[in-house]
Amino acid sequence: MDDQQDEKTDRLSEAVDRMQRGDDRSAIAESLDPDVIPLFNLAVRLEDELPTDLPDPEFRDNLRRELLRSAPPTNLSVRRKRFLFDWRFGVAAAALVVIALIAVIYGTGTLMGNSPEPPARETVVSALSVSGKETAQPGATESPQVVTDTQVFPPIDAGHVVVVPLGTGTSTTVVGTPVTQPTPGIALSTSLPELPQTAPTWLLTAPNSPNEFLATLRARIGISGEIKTDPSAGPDAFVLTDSTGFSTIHWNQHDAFFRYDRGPDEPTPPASRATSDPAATAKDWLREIGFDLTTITYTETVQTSAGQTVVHFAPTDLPVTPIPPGLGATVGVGPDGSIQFAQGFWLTLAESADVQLRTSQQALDAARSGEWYSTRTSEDASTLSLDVSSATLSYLLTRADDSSFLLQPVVALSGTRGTVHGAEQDQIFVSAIRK
Amino acid sequence: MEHAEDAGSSDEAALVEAAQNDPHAFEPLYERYVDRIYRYAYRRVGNHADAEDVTSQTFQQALAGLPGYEWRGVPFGAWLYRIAGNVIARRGRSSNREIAVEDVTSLSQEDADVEVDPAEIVAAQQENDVTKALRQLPLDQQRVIVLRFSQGMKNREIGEVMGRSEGAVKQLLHRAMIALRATLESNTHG
Repeated sequence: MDDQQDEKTDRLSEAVDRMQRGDDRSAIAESLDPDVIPLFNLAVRLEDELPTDLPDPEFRDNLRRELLRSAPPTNLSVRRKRFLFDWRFGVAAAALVVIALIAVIYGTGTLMGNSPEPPARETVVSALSVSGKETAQPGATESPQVVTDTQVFPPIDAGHVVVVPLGTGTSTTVVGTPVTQPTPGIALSTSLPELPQTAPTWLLTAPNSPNEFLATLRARIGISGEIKTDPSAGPDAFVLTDSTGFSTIHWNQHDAFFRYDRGPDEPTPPASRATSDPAATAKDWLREIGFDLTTITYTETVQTSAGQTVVHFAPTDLPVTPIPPGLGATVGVGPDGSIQFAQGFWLTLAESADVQLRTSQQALDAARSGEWYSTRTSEDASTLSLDVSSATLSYLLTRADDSSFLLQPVVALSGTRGTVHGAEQDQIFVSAIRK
Repeated sequence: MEHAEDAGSSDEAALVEAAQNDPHAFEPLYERYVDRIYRYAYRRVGNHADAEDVTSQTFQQALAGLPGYEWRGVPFGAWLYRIAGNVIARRGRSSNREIAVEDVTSLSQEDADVEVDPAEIVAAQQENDVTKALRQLPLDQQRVIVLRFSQGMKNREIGEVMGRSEGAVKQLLHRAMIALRATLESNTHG
């Protein structure tokens, strides 16, 4: 801006100040250069016509973003239910086909005419083994079997990837200046890693009866209160409100995520609860309320700051997902041994098996054909402009049905994304499972 | 008071249905009503901080209660005004207490527990040419004009709010007014 323009800016600003102090508007206008008068007239109009009760545009914009960010995901329960049937039926049917072929080969009769057992859950369990663990499941072997029928695994999309509202996905940082319109496409500025041929998947289950689960939890924590649905937290969310009206337990069946907050009227725990080992206290409490510390093992880490001790329970034999919060639980312990809060995924390991993986080039090709997922809700495959600088094997938690989840491998492609607002760091995910 | 809303909102049922199917489609309804609800709230509570609080709670509760909302031919805004009225009433009775979701969904029925003055709604709905043109400017230009002329802040105060120097605010205001003038002319002739 040159000096002349600066002077006009100052003159206009002074004129507005005088107008708002109540000086005579005509006198102000007469004192101005002709160039400034039209803008002063507009200032007069704004002063007279602009309502005094308009919201700050930034508040308006921020609230819009916040509402859209916190909006619960679309209800896809029908689709999810179909998946579970398809997936288990698919695996079971594959097993039956194999058995039928064996039967034919060995001439033991027409198996299909012998009324085989329906494709029940046991069939699936026997076809899988718990990866890395000894198991008493019938049919289990020392080496994990490889599931080859992967067409019906949960897709990597917004309807199936678990993004708990407490964590909103990958962060983005504006690092560039605005551009007009980025060129769509996925470019590669790094060498692709060599992926293993197979990788494990884990089927995890949540309590399948929310009311029964919450009633049990209520009793085990030793509180009273009413269990109600909580539409504000999602399509399958529940809240337990204590006698004072305090919402002490939140349960999201959709995400298998729980949150407990100690109510103001809850009694102080007995002195025996006070301990110098908050990790032990937290672990005992989790065990008392029925949190599964057996099929999934956890490692505790303790953080203390400002008088509050927080114990994190991270799974030791499950991978970390890149979308927060991570699997596991967090417990806040008071100095008297009281549990101040707790939250986390309430899951039990049901089954595990290996799946065959794509090559990283196949994964990239799939991403380029539009088969990818982003935590950004408004992402459009046809306009994505991403320069990939890192490709890694990662894991996402996906919904299998209303009470089951599959932790499955994905290829995470990270890099710089072009937007109309500038360049941003971003990450997309594509299934690593060979189709 | 429902008749005081836009008569020409024939697409509103479709917008509501879309938002019920996918909450991320709530944005058009938000854009349509946020200023009106804010202005209504401001007139009731008398300051911008509380009006922002009421507006936030109103839209958060509306989004949460959307699955239980039943379209009955009256504008969606009527429901929002009732939620806002209840938010304000409850703030008066018990500060900082939020409305339970079941209370919000019940507001889609006829027996909302707070009456909303139609005159307040009409006042909140008024939007003139200047306001319409203002919405077409970039966010920072909108903001400097609103803070200067609607909320009556000085350049120094605006600078504190926006994280800019007083000189930068002056320049931004100048550019914003040039842009607004051009937009008003364009709207008038185009």
